Amino acid sequence: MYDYVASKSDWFACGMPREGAAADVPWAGDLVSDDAPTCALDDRVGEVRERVLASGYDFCVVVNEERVILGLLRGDALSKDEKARADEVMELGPKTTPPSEPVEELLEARSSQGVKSFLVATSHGVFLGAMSRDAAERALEEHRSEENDEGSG
Amino acid sequence: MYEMIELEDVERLVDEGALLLDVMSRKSYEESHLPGAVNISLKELDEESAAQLDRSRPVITYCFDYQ
Repeated sequence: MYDYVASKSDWFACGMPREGAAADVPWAGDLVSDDAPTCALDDRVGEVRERVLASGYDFCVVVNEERVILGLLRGDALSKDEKARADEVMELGPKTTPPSEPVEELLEARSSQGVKSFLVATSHGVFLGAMSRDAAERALEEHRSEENDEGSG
Repeated sequence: MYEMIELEDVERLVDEGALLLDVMSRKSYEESHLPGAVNISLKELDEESAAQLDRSRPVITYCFDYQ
């Protein structure tokens, strides 16, 4: 007997194939982009700000060496003293989304929060990347369109 | 005794004929599971239900995550 301890959340987080009723709907993990800026606890706000500006995002995820999310820099935090360390100004415990979360449920649940990007992370908090609301809405629209085509075909 | 394994081991063992056993609830299994997995929830898992499994194949159990 073997025990796959990390289990299906790990499997799905690694983009492995899946089966089941929810297998064909788009999941957050399918739409992750790995170009979101990250920084370390001791990075300076000034350099992080430059990184964020160059990235096209409006935030930076503070991670450790294993890419576990420690905090988030955005908004006013990025305007602080450029010599301040990330850990001095970051938001603690930003909300994350598991890669196996169907985007339809996610968009419904957080429709009123004005979130532009979702931080996708494993159950251990390892940052997989960001999923934009636009990408999620596009994928959902495409999925519904395909379903309609199948239904009428 | 169980041997704890990682994703790469799962792929290799499945290629070699191992059986994947999802011990989550029926609802969770029906929503999503690893390809080819069968389901016996932890609540239902006992000697009788386990006897349905092909004993000639190694069995890999999994649930949702590390918990």
